[in-house]
Amino acid sequence: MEIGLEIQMLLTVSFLISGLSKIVSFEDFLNTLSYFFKKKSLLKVIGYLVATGEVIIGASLAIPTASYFSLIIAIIFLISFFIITLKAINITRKSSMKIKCNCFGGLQAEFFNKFSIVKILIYFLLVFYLLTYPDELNNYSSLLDIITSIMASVGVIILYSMVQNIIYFYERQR
Amino acid sequence: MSVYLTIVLWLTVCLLFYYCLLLKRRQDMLINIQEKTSSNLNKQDHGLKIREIIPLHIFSFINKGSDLKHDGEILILLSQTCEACISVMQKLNIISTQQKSTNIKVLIIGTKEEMEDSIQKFNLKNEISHTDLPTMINALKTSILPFAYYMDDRNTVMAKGVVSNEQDFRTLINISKKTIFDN
Repeated sequence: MEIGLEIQMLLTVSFLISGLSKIVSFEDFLNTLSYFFKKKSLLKVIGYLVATGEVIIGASLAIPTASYFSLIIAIIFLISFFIITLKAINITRKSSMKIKCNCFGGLQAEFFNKFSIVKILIYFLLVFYLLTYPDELNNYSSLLDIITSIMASVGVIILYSMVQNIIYFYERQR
Repeated sequence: MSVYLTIVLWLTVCLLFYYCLLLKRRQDMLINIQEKTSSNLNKQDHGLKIREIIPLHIFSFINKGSDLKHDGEILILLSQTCEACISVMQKLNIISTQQKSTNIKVLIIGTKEEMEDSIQKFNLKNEISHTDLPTMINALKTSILPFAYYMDDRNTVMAKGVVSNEQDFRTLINISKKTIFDN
């Protein structure tokens, strides 16, 4: 079991799914952004930048020559997500209004909360691990390793999305 | 990760997916029951009469609202001083997203500053205006809040009543459909 490859594929799949789902449900994503940026013209630019940026990070993480550099860009994205999450929690605290996270686009019904911070911190740790041990990057012995890692990563994300949706369902029932 | 672990993970995904399908069926059933049983809103006998025209021209609305084509419009009367209204304002963006075929206009009973504060605080994107209580009573024949009118494209009242949550909005729209069907 290659930990490095698992993390690399999890990050690849996460960024790819997150970026693509934001593009698919772009209006909803703009709605989330409108809580933080008031200028309409700026809103669309930032929306496209974030969504395409995530897709590019995801794709380049899978390319051996570009994977280390894309980890550094991923850190910048994670820092901005962290700041936005803190802002959103602050708004929620002031007005008790729930703001949809749209972290994975329309895949899941997730609102900004303290767990969003935990999630970003976990991603920080994963990226830092790969930055600290670059030898672990692109460390695979067979095609089966890669396929298994991708399948596992997709499974983890689907599992996470479904758990979020189930939690949301029961919260609405209350 | 070993192949076996991945298989176990996907089996869990399949099980959870089946559970989600069961939940979805349960939710659909609940919505069906709710729609059948709660076909009434409070204070439907209040305000302007059904088929009466709402004098919307006396209010100047700001914000463009949604660009989508609508089946009808809701005019909701809210105030910063009523607790139920605050609760509606908190949910208004989510309700507007859920009811995409209906344009929701907001009339704040209060000053311009209170309206601007509501827009800022709750990030309201709906068409919005403000008025004072005497104008509201005179033009809209009600002093109850939060009160909503469902109107057609000629601004005639199709349904009305007190709305305070997502279900009430759905009920208001359902009542309006019955009004259209009855005529």
